[in-house]
Amino acid sequence: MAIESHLATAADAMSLRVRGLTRRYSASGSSWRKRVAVLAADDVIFEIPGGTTLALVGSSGSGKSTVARCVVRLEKPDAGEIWVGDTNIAQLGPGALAPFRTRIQMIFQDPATSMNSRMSAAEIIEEPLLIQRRGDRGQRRRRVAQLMEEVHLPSTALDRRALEFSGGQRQRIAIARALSLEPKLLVLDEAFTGLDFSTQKQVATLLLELQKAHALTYLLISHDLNLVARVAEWVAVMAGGKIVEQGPTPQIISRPVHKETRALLAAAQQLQSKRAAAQGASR
Amino acid sequence: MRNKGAAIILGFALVILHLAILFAGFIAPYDPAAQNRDLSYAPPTHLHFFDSSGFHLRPFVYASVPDFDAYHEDMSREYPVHFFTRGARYHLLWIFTEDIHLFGVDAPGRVLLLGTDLYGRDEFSRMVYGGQISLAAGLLATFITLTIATIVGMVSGYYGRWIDESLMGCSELFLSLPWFYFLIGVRAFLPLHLDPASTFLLLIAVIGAIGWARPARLVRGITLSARNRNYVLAARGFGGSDFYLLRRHVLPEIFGVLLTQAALLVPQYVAAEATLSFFGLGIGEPMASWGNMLSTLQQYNVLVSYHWLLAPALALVVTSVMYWMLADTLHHWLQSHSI
Amino acid sequence: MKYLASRLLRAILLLIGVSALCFLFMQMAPGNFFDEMRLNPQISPETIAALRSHYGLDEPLLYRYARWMIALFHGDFGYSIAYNSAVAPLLWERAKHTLLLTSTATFLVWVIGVPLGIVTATVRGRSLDKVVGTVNSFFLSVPEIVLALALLAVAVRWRIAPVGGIASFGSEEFSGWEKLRDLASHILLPVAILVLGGIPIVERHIRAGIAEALDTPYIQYARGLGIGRIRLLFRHALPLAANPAISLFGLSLASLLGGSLLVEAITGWPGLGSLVLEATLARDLYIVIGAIMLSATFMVAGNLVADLLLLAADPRIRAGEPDAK
Repeated sequence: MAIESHLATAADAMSLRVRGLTRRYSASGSSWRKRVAVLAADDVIFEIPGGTTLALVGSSGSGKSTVARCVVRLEKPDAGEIWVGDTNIAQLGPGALAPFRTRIQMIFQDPATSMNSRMSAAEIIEEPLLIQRRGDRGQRRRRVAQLMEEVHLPSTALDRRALEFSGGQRQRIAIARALSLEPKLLVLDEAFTGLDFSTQKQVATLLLELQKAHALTYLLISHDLNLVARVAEWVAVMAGGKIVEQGPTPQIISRPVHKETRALLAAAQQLQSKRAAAQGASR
Repeated sequence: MRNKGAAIILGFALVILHLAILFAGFIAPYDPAAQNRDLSYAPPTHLHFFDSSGFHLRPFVYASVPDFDAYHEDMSREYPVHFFTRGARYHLLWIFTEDIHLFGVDAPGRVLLLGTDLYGRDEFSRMVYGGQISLAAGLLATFITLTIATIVGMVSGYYGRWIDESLMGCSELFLSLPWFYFLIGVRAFLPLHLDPASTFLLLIAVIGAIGWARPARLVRGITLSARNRNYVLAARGFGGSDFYLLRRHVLPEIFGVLLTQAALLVPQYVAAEATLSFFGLGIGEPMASWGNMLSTLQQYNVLVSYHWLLAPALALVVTSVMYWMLADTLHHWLQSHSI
Repeated sequence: MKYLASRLLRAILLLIGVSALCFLFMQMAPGNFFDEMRLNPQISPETIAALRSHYGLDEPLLYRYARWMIALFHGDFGYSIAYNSAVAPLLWERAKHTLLLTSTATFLVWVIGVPLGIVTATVRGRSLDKVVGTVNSFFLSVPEIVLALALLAVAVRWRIAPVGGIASFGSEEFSGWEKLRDLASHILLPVAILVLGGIPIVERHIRAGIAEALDTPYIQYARGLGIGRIRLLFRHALPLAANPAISLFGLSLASLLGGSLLVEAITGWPGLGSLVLEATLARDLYIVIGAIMLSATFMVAGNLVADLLLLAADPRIRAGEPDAK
């Protein structure tokens, strides 16, 4: 299988195993009114071998973002286990969780809001190092410059403010920032959705490059099966908070079983033909 | 103030106002506490440029001579106005002792730009010194209010849930009390007669501690929206502490609001001090504040006959109008910058 | 209905909070204020002792608070040494005068301010709007005490209106009509001060509300349909601008009892505000507490009424939409 070539540095790649992840939301404003519970994630189970990519797909409201936020521990799951390497981080307190903060990072959907537009590119990339007190000023600057290079952004752009960059460039900055603490697991929460098609391809190529270079494991959240097909080895389909189908990407795409999978495929094919037509027309 | 030129002029005017009051000792020709029973309720001395010998570039004044219940000018005695002249000693910026004044005339002439009060004290000097008290009260009380508002608002908006509800409930409580009644009420329960320094501190504490509710709500609103931004979540993902997140990502957002609020609160608090002192609940004699200088006007004969004693009211108006214009300018500037 | 209940509950909680705050104030008074009474030679030690036990001063805090609250409910606001009367009737007498003053002023402010706001909104940008805007900004920025003093000076100097009190000397002899004229002449000055200070706020709010309503696509569309300007204004724009106007009106209602302290004190109008001031200077603290409670209650009630008015006017709140306000 093609997977072997991705596991070139399997020794330091980190796996992710999720068992029975459950998260409830209460929909009410005030803390003393009655709570109405919604099961955003319901007994979710999947596994990502180190150094590979698993795509969590589904339509909006299917619970994929909830799962992503739980994995990164932006939220605490109500039940279940999240095994990062050989530690279950699902219920860890802030103190015990701290070392894992550097190993797992998230890339957000909207590059405009995921960084403080008042800050410069250098300040944004430097922030994690600053918070974690890694090195002195000079060392941090050098690391920032190195990271900018890795994401193929010119070093002259370092002092420009975030809002002066295009969407694709901002995602690169976000990636550089995420990489600064040398994570082993990256959660990409709809990281491509805000970008136009050609930029998507560029960023996807960059991410694959980085994955090989640093033996990274990716959890990709998306609703675009075309993208998923090109980037992920594994796919898990979500609907109504549950995983309804999962397996290796080629298999799921060629032989979908669940109706949700079929619907997503149909949408993806429609989009693909539209793009092909547009490209054809522009020639 | 929508255009830049007007805003710059306003800025200059404000700076000059504050500098003049800061350097009250220099600007004022006389000691504000120096009494002169012979010159009780003297009207402002006129500045003349022409006399029997023609035009003089340097203005001069005539001696004021009491005449039944009024004063008239004695044309035989001329006193030219000198600038940067030596006069009564004072403390410059509370550290240096100086005796150079911006202007003055040789004794026994008196240049009383705004006349005198009952005790013959120079109203102009008292007004400039009084400005120190009134403006300082306004500025310090504003600082207290905004500090409380920032802390409460940020904690409330950031931590949410029961902390938010109880703090905002508290703010609603404070907002339910009629401000002035509350102010008087709190003042009423504190000792009425204290030494001037304690009174001043008490005053700014009371004024400052009451008005935090509305600015706190504004700060809370901004904190709430900032706290949910993705870059804050990202920073938290990097292990940022609450304190770091508040300081680095929330605080810069509220500066604009704080500035505008400050520009709105300062004149209100200056007026509050003036009002309290006017009624005898604030700064008392012999210290001058714009408020207590105006309290003699509660006697109708003074109000009608000695209108120059209304000068502090003019000072209050000028200060208030300038600060309101500043608030307006800041408001527009911030609106155009936040997009 | 549920909304009503929750607002009512909130109001009650607020009042409890206010009373607790007031009670704490009383405890804050240096020593306790009976010490001040002790210094007064007119009051015998026996009287003080009797008052102390009557008010249960040697009992635990919560117990005293409960007693005080019960007393309040029975209308017992305490006793004033200076005025030699129970506090409650004193408060009520003065409160009536204040309400007379403020309702007159509020009525005038709205009767003048609303049309003014509507007119300036419709002639936005033209000279009338600019003039009114500047005058308003000026009056908004002038501190109330200066405004009051200025008008006082004018009234005294040019004998335009009598100053002080609510009736002239010997006015009990006047006929009904003359009494009214006398009252009007006495109320003129304080009302003028309140009105001059109040119109700018209302005018601005109304103007902003109407201007915003006129700018909505809904109105533009209606204009495109050829609907006349007057009809447009009254049947379409005005209802849209109703919300902020009602909120502001609620605020006006709420401040009926609490917004005129300064004016009363300066013009000598015998209202609740001037009473509070006198009492503060005379260290008659029961009056001060009573007045604060009364005005706060009024304010909370006023806000409640405002919320109810808003509820009645805006169907969105009734439907429970979160950002209807």
